[in-house]
Amino acid sequence: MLGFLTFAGLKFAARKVAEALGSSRAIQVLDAVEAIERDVRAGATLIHDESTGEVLTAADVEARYAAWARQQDETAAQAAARIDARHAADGTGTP
Amino acid sequence: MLRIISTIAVALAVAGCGAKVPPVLSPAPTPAEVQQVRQIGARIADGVTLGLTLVDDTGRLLDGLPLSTELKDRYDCAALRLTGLDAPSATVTRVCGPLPTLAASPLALARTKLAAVTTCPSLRATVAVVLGEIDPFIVRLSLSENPSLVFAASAIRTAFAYARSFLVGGGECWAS
Repeated sequence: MLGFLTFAGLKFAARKVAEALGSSRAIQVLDAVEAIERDVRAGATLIHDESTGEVLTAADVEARYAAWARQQDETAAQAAARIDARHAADGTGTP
Repeated sequence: MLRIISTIAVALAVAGCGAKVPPVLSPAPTPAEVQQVRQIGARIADGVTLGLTLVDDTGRLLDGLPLSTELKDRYDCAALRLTGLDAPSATVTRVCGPLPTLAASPLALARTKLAAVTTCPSLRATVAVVLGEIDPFIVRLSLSENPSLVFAASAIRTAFAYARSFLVGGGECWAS
């Protein structure tokens, strides 16, 4: 509990400092850390949450696979955009 | 040895067909079994979706840290090899090398196969996927110059066609 509060406090302080300095890079890192925290919590819920008793239709299962496909597209697009942005920024991009 | 096995397989298939054995195996699963399989499929899909989100968020984190461009590129290229990418930019192609398309990526192939056996589960659906997987192997055997292998390919194909003829029922979307 104390560890969690310390971590939350550190994150809060770091965000305030980053905002005060106007460091978009630091804010990006803090946003990513919080997103990863959310992912890990969602993962823990998924692992520990046994069957909810929900009756799944074929359409429900298809929707879950469609969500997978959408996230796959999104992850690919973001990774490609990061590569392009990095190389554009340091002048090594290929036209 | 292979020739003997092939001959036995063909003989069994022919004997079975000749005897006109009625379909005895009904692989149609019960609604409860369908639900079990769908729950597994849905949990796997949710897990992979979450994993991809984590890959994305970690990529953003690495991108923001003071690390070398090479290291960050290596991470993003590994993610792209897994997810595939349609129409990559010239920069992405130069940095990562050739990438699979989204549809031909390892993840997309896994998703297609998994969806085929978990959305409307049945033994017939599973066998259809397995047959699809081994078909290239059978084709390669049949194109070989070795008569034994060509004969084996023919025997395997006949045996599977015979087995498939028993798989009646199933494949419908039960309890949907």
